[in-house]
Amino acid sequence: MTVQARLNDAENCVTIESTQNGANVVLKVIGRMDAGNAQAFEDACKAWVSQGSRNLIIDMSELAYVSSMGLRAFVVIGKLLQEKGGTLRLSALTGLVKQVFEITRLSNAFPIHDSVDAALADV
Amino acid sequence: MPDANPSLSLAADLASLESATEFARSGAVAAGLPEECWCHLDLVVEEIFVNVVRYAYRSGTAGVVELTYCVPKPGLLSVEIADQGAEYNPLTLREPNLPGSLKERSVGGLGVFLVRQLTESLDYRRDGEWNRLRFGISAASAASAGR
Repeated sequence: MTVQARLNDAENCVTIESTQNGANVVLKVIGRMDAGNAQAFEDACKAWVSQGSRNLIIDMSELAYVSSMGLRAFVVIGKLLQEKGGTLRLSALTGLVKQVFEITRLSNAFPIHDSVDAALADV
Repeated sequence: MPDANPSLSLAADLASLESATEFARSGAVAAGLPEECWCHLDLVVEEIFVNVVRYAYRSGTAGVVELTYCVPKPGLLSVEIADQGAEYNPLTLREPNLPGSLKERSVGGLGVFLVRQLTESLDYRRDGEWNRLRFGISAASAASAGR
């Protein structure tokens, strides 16, 4: 069964598309994740965790920008899933987002894959 | 007499962040910074601006943030972000630990670190009642950060 949900926060330039496929949930984050909307991303992830999801995959192929508030949200969700025996997997990082994850060495703290398909194959 | 450097005064409120980054981008255009590093500039401005909004005016009084930019030479943009909050020099912060294990990672604490990494220069001074944080950014400093 596939369940799709779409959170469109146009004012804050971010769209989060959630797709559930079996036990896995893929969240595609489109736009910019900054101090104004990082909480919306965190809340969207937490909602899936509270429903029992333990494997979240973030599709970052269309995420153009992330600030430290966004990084904070990734760490919060990653730790939350880890505590529950799950994993936060990141996929398709590009440009500034990839550079920021490398600078902060968060690229070593998460499983990072070239594509969503590669992340799904790793579950 | 030369023209004064462009400046903008904003309320110290998250709702002003977009105005702050737009203003800084006009500086990027003036400095001839390539579009590829505008998002790096946005990031530096956001980190400094958000710190001011969150920590400078703790008493609950309405505060201001003043931005000023100049172009010391083509390809280099210098931006000063000033507030009248409690004296605070972010350059005194210690570099964060960046362990590769998620379990050992702290939540937060990366903003000033990112600013340091993405800028060519970063200076703080206390000027009367003002905190003045000035950074320089170039295409080279943005592209080479962390590499």
